[in-house]
Amino acid sequence: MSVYLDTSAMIRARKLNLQPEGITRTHTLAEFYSTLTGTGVLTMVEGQEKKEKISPKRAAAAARETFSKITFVDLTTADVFESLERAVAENVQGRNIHDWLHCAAAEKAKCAAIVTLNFSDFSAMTNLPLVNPAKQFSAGRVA
Amino acid sequence: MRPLHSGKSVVITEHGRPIARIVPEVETRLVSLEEFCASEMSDEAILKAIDEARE
Repeated sequence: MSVYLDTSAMIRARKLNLQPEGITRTHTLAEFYSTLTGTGVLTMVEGQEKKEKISPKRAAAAARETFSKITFVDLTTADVFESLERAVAENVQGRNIHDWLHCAAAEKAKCAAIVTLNFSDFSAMTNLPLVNPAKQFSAGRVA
Repeated sequence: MRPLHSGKSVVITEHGRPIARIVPEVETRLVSLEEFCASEMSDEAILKAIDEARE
């Protein structure tokens, strides 16, 4: 069985220059591009906090390369309506709906696990096992 | 302004009660993909950037 990779896992894969196999939904491409070209990711440069981002052209190329072995499983409109109704019951609010829909896509695709950095939010949203990208990608285990 | 320049946030108080906080802007650099991949980025930093990208 395959694993589901969320945006955080795909950014870790990009930083490791990996093209992981697995499943995600098309929306992850938008989040990946948006994160790489947005307000930037915090890092330390010569002892000072800086944010780093890349150009839109590089981000688009990075997306094409990083997602080259990914299978996309998307939610239909009916799936999303049904997921929103389940979100009401779980009191999912605000930006958390994006992660909720990642979980819905992973469950739809019958994935064995979700690869993510976001254990704190995902653990409240799904019964699927969560795997840290470092563990998933270690020793060349990228599928 | 000095604490802000050194990267610290400043709490504004009214009658001793905190009512606001000024958080210093962190400079954003446009870098190459190679530089971006080589930089140390914590899990928390990646999650925060994704969160900000969703705003």
